[in-house]
Amino acid sequence: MTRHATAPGAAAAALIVSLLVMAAPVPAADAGGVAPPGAVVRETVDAVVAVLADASLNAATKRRQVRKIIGAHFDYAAMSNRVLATNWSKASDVQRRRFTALFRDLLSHTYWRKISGYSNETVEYTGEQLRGDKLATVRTLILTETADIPVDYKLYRRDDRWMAYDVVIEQVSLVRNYRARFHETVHRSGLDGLLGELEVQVAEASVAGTP
Amino acid sequence: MLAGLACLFYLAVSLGDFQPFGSARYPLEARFVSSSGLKPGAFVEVGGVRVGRVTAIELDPETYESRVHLELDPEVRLQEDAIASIRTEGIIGDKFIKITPGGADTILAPGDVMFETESSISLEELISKYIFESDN
Repeated sequence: MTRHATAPGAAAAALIVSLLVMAAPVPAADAGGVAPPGAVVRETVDAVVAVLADASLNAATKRRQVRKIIGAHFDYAAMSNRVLATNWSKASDVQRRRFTALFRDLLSHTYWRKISGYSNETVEYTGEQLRGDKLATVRTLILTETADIPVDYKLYRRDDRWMAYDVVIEQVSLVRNYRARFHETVHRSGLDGLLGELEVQVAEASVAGTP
Repeated sequence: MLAGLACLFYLAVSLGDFQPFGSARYPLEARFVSSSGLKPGAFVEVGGVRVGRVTAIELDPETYESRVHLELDPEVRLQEDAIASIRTEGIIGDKFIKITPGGADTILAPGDVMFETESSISLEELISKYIFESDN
């Protein structure tokens, strides 16, 4: 159980510490030299919180840094595979790549608006569970002034590192949510129809959400 | 007389989910943080079609998770990243399990455990939690 330091001075210290941690090869590695999933999530969330809390950065810089930190530990291709589900196996390589890029941009725009409103919430790590040696769930609680929001991260082991492929907030899975939504669109207007709609959505969001 | 008995037998089979010749369905297990409100006998659906039912629910004494045992029609093949969600029929109806198929190449074999699940959502808890957040 760890709570982040959130005082302004401590936030700057947290940034430096987490940057050092990010730069270090692997913290608390297991026998095989692989950082455990809990450490990966903690490291990533700590680094994001530190960037958000850093008053010296402007919004554009924060966004770029956050995207970079998250991109290093989120496997958007695995996520896209799971989101498109049965439609993934029917998609061509070009369609898969296009979907992955668009989905990443869509998530980046959608969730940037949410996390950029960060105001000193703290994150508590409540547990880590391994499923076999390839899958893991890391449970966290975001403590806001009014409510504690449970956020679970799902990770899988890709070669020698753990990568996230789903986030479950208040028992609602991001992958399941988009899977249901996109499945209807593909059923209605085909995969190219979905890609077209996503392109429009991403373009609109990037105009509206430019920091 | 025989016709009458046959009718009775048919009714018992179709109404009572009674399977005299042994179940052709195959078993799966799904683990949830909470399966609050779900009961044995609850149906399992894929794409709105009933394809199985809940046979038993037990507590895992080590993880305090709910282990839900399911049985599914043999023609329903689920990928290992299929997601099992506990949902409510209507707003105040019974709970059931809704499965959204996944995209993985590996198909779940009889007796396998589904890793991807969404637990019961308690509307009362959510409302009481977020009702105080209306100021922002």
